[in-house]
Amino acid sequence: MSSTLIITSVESLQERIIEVVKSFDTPGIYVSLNKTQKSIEEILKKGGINTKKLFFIDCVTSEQTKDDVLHILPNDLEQLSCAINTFIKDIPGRKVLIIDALSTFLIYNNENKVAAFVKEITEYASKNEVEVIALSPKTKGEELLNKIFNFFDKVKKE
Amino acid sequence: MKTTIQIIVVILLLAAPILAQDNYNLKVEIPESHSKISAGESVWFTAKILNLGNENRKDITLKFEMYDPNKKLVVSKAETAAIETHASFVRNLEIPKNSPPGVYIIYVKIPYSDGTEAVSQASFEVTTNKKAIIIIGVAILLLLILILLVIWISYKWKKMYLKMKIHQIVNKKLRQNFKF
Repeated sequence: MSSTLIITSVESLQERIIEVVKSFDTPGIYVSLNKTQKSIEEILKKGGINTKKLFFIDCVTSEQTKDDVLHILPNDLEQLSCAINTFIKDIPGRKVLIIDALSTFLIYNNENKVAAFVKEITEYASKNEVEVIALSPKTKGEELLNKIFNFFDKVKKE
Repeated sequence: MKTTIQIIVVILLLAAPILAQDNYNLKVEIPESHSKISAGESVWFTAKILNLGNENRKDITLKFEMYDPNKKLVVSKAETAAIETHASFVRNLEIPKNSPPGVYIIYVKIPYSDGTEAVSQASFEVTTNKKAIIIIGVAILLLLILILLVIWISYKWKKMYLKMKIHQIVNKKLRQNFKF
């Protein structure tokens, strides 16, 4: 199992997210930082993706629209880390972890805290054979990206 | 003879006030063990009186007064006692609970009939109430422990609740026969 960091332009981010999710047929934990779970699910469905295989963690809104969606504040990295770890433990078999806009964490947390969070989840995922895909727009958080490059097996700059 | 007796009577009448004059040697002592007391406790002291005036048994008034470091009268007591040639009294005065720390003075007074008085004084120190400080300290510590416990429990509960919710979400999808 590997971990990949994809750095792409803001304009292409949405498209890349759909491509990434489509490329996996295993269940996935989707951490949504750009859009609400409702919006991203609609976009993915329009992209022809079966969202039933996805477990959403919505870090954008705290409004509970569906029972099976977890809402965690983006500044509560400890809670988020615990949620991701618990999903990884509970979902049987192979799975993928997708974080759709990693640098958004910088709005709510300092760089070092985000870097520590990324390190923790990539390590945990690696031990538990979980594929990790993190996407980040190019224009945000260059210093953070420099810090976290080494935590990923692959870094794709587009 | 008659004249002699009259003269003697006049002399005695004139001398009576002098002979019956109040004159006491008064000394008050506070034992070393009571030289430092906490507020709320009692200070014990000894009043030793020598009757220098005459040898007759006499009732006297003893006044006890305690003054704080600001020279304010905080405790006052009076009693009547009988004395012949000498007497010794052991007494105590309670220091009010809210008394500030500092040097206090006890006065023991014996008023004379001519308006003057015999006075003796002794001083002692009121220290901060160690027992109260310890009790307050323990109470604060317990309160802090309780607060930390509540924070820890709510933190643990938050995590537990999150895990429970995730279990429910995953089980729900499994029950929906979603093939993983």
